Amino acid sequence: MTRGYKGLVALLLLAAMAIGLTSWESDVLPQARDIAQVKLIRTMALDQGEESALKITVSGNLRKEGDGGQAQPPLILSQEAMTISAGCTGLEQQSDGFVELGHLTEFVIGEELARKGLQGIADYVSRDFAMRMESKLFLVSGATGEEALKGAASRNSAITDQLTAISQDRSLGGKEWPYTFRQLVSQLEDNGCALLPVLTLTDNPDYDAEGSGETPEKKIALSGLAFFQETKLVDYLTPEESKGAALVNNQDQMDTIEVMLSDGSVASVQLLYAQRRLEPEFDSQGHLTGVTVHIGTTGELNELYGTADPSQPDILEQMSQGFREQLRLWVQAALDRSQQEGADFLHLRRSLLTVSPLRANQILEEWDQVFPELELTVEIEGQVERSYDIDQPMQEGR
Amino acid sequence: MGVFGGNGGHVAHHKLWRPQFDQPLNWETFSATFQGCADFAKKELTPKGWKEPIKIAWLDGMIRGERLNDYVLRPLAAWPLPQEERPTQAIVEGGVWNQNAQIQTTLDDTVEAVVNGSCAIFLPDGVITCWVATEEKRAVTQPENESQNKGAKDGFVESIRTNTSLLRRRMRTPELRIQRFLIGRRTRTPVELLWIEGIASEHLIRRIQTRLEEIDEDALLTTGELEEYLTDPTATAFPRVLFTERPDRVCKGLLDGRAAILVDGIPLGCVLPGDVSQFMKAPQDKSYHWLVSSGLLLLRYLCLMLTLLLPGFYISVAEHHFELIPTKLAMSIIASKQDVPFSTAFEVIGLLIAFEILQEAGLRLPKTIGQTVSIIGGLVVGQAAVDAKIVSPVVVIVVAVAGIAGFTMPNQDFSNALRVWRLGLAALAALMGIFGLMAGTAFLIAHLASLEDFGVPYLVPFAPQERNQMESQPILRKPVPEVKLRPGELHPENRRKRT
Repeated sequence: MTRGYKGLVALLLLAAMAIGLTSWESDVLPQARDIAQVKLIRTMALDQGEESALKITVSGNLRKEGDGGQAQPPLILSQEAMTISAGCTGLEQQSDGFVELGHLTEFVIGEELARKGLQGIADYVSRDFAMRMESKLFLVSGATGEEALKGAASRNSAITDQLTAISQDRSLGGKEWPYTFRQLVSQLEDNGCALLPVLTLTDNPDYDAEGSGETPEKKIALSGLAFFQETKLVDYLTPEESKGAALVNNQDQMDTIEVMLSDGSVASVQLLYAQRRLEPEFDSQGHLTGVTVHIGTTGELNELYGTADPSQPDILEQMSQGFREQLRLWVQAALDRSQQEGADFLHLRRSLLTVSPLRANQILEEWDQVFPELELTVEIEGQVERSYDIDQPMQEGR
Repeated sequence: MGVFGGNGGHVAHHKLWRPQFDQPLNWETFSATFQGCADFAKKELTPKGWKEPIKIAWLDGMIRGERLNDYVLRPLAAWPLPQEERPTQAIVEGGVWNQNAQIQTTLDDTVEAVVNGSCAIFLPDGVITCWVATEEKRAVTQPENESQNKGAKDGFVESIRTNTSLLRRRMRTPELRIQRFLIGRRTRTPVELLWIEGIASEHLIRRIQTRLEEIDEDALLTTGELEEYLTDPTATAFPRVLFTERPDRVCKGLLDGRAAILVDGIPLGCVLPGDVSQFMKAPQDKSYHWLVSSGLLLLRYLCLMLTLLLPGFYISVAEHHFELIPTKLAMSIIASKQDVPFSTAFEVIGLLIAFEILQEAGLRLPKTIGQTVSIIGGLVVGQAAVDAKIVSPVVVIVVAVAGIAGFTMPNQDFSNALRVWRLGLAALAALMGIFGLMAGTAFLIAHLASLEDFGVPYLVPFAPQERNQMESQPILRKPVPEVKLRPGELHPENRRKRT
């Protein structure tokens, strides 16, 4: 054996001895945790605690018990603590496996806690290495997050799946679900105002009270948006205001607008696309006097009930007018509410700074004074398109 | 005793190489040399008017009977001149009908000629050897391991002269130089060094010649013996010279400015110096469109990464970094591992070893049985192991993908080196997660970067010494007319290969 080989063998033996002697538990090597022992947590609910500042409830996915075994309800653990970190540590002690928070994708905030403020939660998620800034945020109206997690759980459903479905259904044009921690922190950093989607819990009529566990006790639905000021929940927006707010924030959502035509026919128009553009108006002194909110949009005729002929240009124009008017009402409602509350939850100021960078300083200085009195006009631009002619489906529709 | 065995330092030194037989040349010493050899044959015949017989000897099986009878024995039997007229010179000059009749003066040379297929003729005034060897050999057939759809179908055989003829038929230039060496004290194996004068660097050829001359071995029977003498003694699993069954590949190497070595009895050509890009290129790359070839080359590099890193990466993420796994995949993995009693590292490394065992078993067994073993081992046992919850299906997929990706490597030696490193990287990943895997990978890159043979870095073209090395040896295949220069790292005498 050459000296080189002897050295190599000696080094390997020493390494093996070192590993053996220092043992697995030492700080020399990272401790392995096998994935089979891991409890993946997908959703975390944060509520006002009864004895402590916080009550943390977490939910995993549906579990398969053994090969061919029946699906089990998701693992749900609760812990009260003064901080989220301490609560998470307490959760680990409750479980027979490793509680893994690295796959947490949804947070559900209880109303009571939301009214006290989201600063601490945003701080925790921003700092903790296991948390994801892309995690989605939801607010539960009139209930706690824990109730939402437990109410949505059954042998066939977990709240994570329902929230994922909600966020995927509501996004349009392939856009990501906008209400994430990243967006929340960004909005709070801008002016302390933010919007969060609101969930409502209703009793499930199919719930089996006998305890078969097949169906969840509660149904979860998205009911609109709520606005936060200084990180605290202030109030809920009406459905119309919520739709308008989404349009102004370029968070276009899949929506259907029913338009009544002059002959009594009803057209159902699908909102396909919407893009917001701001046009500020300044006086001769350079002061901001008004803002026109332009929404470029496209709709598509989905259904038509009645005698109207959609191939006629005047009928299409009627539909377009009705479609534009409905969008204008939504947007105007959101703008009006923002001004009434004196809360720029639509983040117009931030958008104006990018539109008029040369007047940025002036806008920043005057904003608080001018915003409540600012003349906000809405311009909706766009047409309803007809996808095809039902009488001649093989030809070009328009 | 030791892991790698002893070096025999306490045993007496090897005796001097030549002459092996230093006794005087005569019939008695010659016969004594072959004493105990059952295939040693001899015959005496006495031409008319001679007082002493002519003694002829040969080794049965090494010669062709017709040649001996018709062109040596018959002319000798009818030799018309008397014994006193010193017949040796006359016989060499036309007495026997043989193009390679030589007068021998030493026992050593005579013995060597006989073991190479000559007959020795002991005359009263001298000794002659005549080459009457049999030329029985395997016919030129298609290469088994390097077949290609579009291209030549001939492969090297065990006969060195046939192999040189296969090269000569492609390289019809007198500048193709072939230098013969005899290596092996006992085997006396003919080894031939080939290069193209005016292309290959003289310095390179001189260094290879020196290496070949310095080989002092009892035998040269395998490619590994040659490779380890030709390259610097570095502890690496990676091949340093390219062994190929294809004459066209050797020609390509020669035209690039490399040298080739052919060994009698080994149906392979050896092209050197080697670098990593050579081992990643398949013979058919030049047969396909450059875009297709480049795509396939990229695929091969991807497979290189997969075969090397996938098992280690899976262990890392499944034992240390769960957050790196997409959530849905993590859920699938957890569900599949529910009842498996072993850790992921144990599963992966165990299955990798099982895979290697299966591969070795398939190679050692006859082809038909080997296939059966593969099917039983891979499908039946694999499925049974999954059903019995001994391994999880994801681990089977990971190991299978890594194994199959390894099979895309065009060079078996390179693939074998990856197998060794794959296991090592998996062990490091089990110990230290991604950090271990990355540390191992960094060590591997450093190790490869440290390799160099005959002045050529192993990592060319990834680590070229000069900028122009990238131009002539691109990572992907360029259109042929655009590659105007030979690889710069070989320092060829003439770099330009087309206008």
